[in-house]
Amino acid sequence: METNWNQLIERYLQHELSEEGRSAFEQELEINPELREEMEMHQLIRSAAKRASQRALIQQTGKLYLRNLRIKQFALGIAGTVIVVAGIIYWINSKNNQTKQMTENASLKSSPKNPSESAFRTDQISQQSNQPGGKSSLIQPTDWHETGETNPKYAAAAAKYKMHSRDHAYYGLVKNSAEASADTLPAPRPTVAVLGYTNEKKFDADPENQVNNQTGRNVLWVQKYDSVGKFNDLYCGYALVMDNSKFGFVDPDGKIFIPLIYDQLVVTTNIKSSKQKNKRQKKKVLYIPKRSGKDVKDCDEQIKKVSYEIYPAENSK
Amino acid sequence: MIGTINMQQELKQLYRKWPDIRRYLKTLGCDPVSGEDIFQEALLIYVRKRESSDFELTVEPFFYVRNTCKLLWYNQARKEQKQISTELHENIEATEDAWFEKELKIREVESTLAKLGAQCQELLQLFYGLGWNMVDIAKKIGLRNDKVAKAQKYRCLQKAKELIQEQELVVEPIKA
Repeated sequence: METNWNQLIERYLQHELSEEGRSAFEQELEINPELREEMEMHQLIRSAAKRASQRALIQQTGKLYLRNLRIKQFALGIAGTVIVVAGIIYWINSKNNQTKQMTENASLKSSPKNPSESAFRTDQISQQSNQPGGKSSLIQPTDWHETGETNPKYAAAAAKYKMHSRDHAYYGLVKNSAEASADTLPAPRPTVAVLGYTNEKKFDADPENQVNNQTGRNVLWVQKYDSVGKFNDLYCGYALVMDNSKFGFVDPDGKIFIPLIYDQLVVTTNIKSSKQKNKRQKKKVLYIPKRSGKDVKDCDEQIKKVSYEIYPAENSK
Repeated sequence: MIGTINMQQELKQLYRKWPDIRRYLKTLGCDPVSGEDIFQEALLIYVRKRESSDFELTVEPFFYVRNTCKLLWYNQARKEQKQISTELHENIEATEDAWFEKELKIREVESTLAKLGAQCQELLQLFYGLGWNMVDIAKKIGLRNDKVAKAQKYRCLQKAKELIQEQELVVEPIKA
């Protein structure tokens, strides 16, 4: 019986009953308190179910909202990180480019300005006709400068620099040979290449002339060696000489100061660590302390004194 | 069904304002956990009002919900204070009028419905709450056809009634 009521109530509330059934049901509703109670409960359930569904809907929306929020935050976080990382990479790249450009500019600037000088500095030795090519590779001054540097970037820049200067080497050679034949020896071509450590302070006078004069005066002992460096502050007034790919030093009179037995030169501020580094090499290495500040000043004065002593005397002869 | 979809959209819109309302409730001294409860309750009231025909919205939904939140929070705060000071008055106030009584009953029944099986709950909610027809409900719940669903609905109703009666039997002796 109850289930019947149940169905009837439901159908009544859903407006599924026919007109007759409807009026019959309403009549029954009036006289039957049990049915009324049942009906009330039914309606309660209906509204409760409705409310539950609304609550579920709201909660679902809330969850959806929270999830979307999380996703948004996550995406934002990722986007932020990507931007930061990209920025850092870009920054590093631009910095690298800058330093590269700077080194390139430097090499470009220096090489065309004084082509003969750069030729002297680097490549003349390898271009010399009476020497085997590989001999001089060790004493290129760019290499000396690089001894302390481990950065490959600088090495690359240095290589580029060499390339540039090689272009000019030919002119330098021609010029040099012309001048050499003009004012020094009747030799058809120079047998001496001068290896100069470049210190801009020292180039007050025309470096070529200075060198040529020097070679002219000291031609006797200078000719003994494959190449002779300048007397400058790096070696405190002594000149680096090279013969048969061994290094040594001479004083301004041509006397040997350090015998020519070294395969390699290292100019460094920290001799101890350099020694440690090159421990396993079989080469004989000469370590020269890198001078700076007061040392250089002292040396400058010494050199001036020395050259003053030498040159006037020779000039007067 | 279209109405419920609209309602969902509206709810989404309103939920986007939740941070504002949370801030607002915070200024009134509400903690975030009960704040969310209050907000959902306010949304529920809004939805119910929206569906009743004699309700006219004179302000924007957001302000309506915000105001409801405020009132709900005041109510709750007052109740909490009363609980602390004098617990005696609670029962007297609880039986204020017929509307409130009905409201309480509905809430009771709602909690009772939560004891039904998951399928029954879903069925009743879909049918009475969202107004789906039996064919769709049968598909959604995984019943063979609408007739089975209908039969299932009656069974669920019957069970709900039994549960409610049982509870009344249990509750009434305590009250008395």
